[in-house]
Amino acid sequence: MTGKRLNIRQFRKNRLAVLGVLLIILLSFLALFAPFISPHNPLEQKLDRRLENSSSEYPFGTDDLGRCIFSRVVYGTRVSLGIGVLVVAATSIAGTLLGVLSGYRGGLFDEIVMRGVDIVLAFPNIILALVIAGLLGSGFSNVVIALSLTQWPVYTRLVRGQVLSLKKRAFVEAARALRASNFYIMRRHILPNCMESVVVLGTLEIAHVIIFAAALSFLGLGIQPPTPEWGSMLKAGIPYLRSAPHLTFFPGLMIMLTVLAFNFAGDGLRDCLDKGTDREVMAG
Amino acid sequence: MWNYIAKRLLLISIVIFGVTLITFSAMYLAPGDPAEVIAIARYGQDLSAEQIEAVRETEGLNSSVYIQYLNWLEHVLHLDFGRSLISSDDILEEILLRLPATAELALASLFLSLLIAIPAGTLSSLKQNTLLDNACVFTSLLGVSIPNFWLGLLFIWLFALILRLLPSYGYGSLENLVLPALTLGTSMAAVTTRLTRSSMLEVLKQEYIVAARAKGLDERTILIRHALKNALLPVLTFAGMQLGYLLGGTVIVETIFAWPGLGKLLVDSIFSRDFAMVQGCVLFIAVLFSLSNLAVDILYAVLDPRIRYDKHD
Repeated sequence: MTGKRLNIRQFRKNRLAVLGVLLIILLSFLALFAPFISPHNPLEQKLDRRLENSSSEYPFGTDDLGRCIFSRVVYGTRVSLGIGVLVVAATSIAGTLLGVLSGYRGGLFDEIVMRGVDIVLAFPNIILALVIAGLLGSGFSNVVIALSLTQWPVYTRLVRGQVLSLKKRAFVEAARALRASNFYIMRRHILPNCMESVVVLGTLEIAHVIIFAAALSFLGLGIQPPTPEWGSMLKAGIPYLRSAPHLTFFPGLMIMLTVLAFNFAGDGLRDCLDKGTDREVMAG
Repeated sequence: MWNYIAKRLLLISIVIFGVTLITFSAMYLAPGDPAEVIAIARYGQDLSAEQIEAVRETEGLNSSVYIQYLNWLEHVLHLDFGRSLISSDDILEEILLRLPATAELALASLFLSLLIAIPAGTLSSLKQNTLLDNACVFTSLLGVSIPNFWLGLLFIWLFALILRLLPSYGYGSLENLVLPALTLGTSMAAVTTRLTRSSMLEVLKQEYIVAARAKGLDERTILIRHALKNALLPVLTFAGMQLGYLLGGTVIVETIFAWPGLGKLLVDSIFSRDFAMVQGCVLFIAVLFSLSNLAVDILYAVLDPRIRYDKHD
């Protein structure tokens, strides 16, 4: 096997990457144990304690309805990580399979899939997800659907490119000479050799998806209040930007830290890939 | 070269055809009967069955979906995007009316990002592995991860509310432009700084730089005439490709700063459920994006004689 292998020892030497992984572990911990970490119920309103600053009782203060911002921010990790992981799981599997089939089979099938990729990527950035989420209506599952429908092409394009070059390699030729079936070759020789770059791209994509999901909620087209979600918390804090900036400060900080963690980890993983793949991953 | 352009134009027409299909069918994602949805958008929640039927009649929703699509496509091909479901304004006129504000914001952001990124990236590459370099790299990593809607709010808080230097929203004067452009420009600058740095590091290793040094040219000339000139080519191409990022980013930044551009028009139309306007905006943005990508690719080939698309295709 001549595939691109991740070099774990090299990864451990990259301090930012290790920091990223530690942050991801911490955030997952917050998401899993949110009920035990939060000092208050994230939905509980205390109207006599609105817009309070940080205190020992409310570490990040309270919002305009007297809810504990710290608890809401902690619960928010569930929503953001949930969307990120779900969308990336769905799109990386679908996108990779399409890319393998498309690159391996070539011909009309490849042509159709690649035009599909071009068409989805013709809508810049968040525009298509915005429209899909806007028309479907808000809510967790619609955000996941909107982002899944728009993010799969990045994997397909990356994987297809790799398959095109893997297809010509000696070990694939050898397998074919031994009369291995196409399915066997794709499963045993092609797919495993694409996995590492898909993992790298997936890690970076979690960062993208989390920002996009928060942006949708910020615009009012994603997760709706009272569900604790960072983007919609930012939106709700705008009227109090002058008098109580902590309403917008903490949710934004959480988005940044989460995105930073996945970017650090993803960059670190990418640097551990053999030279030659890194450019393709960058382009994806 | 001409072969390449012809081939790309053919591919782009296929893609744009697909874009019209997606844009049209997106309408049907909205739950409910389209005639009813349009009637609600136009007349509010209190509806009579006659009003819904009237909408079905006037909007041609009686015919099959294929016929509706072909009708719509025919109009779009004649640059007739139809009328807003709410204000009855001509959609293309409204888009073109909003376009200058978005273009102004996008160009200002692009300019600001290059103004920050090129000096920062160059300096960083010249002082590789120093404290300054590390600070630059770290700041740009940070910049990539800051969501621009949060950055925009932080800028408003600092510059408009605390320091009272700039207006927090509005359109018209140069002062109004500063904060939105800064919001959109800084996150872009983060990526461009990294690119400038790596591109410069690559170029500085080349033999013609060594040759220029051996000739005894002073460092300034080497830096500007030999290194920067070559290193900036990928940076400028990248800046061209960023138009997509800009068009997407304007949606959010225009909403925060009440900037009357295309992005705000799109978001407002989604909220008022003005589907015809949403279709028009999305189609317009996608076509603009596709054509600008083609223009960047061609420009790249013209600027860099080493690139020959024909050989590969």
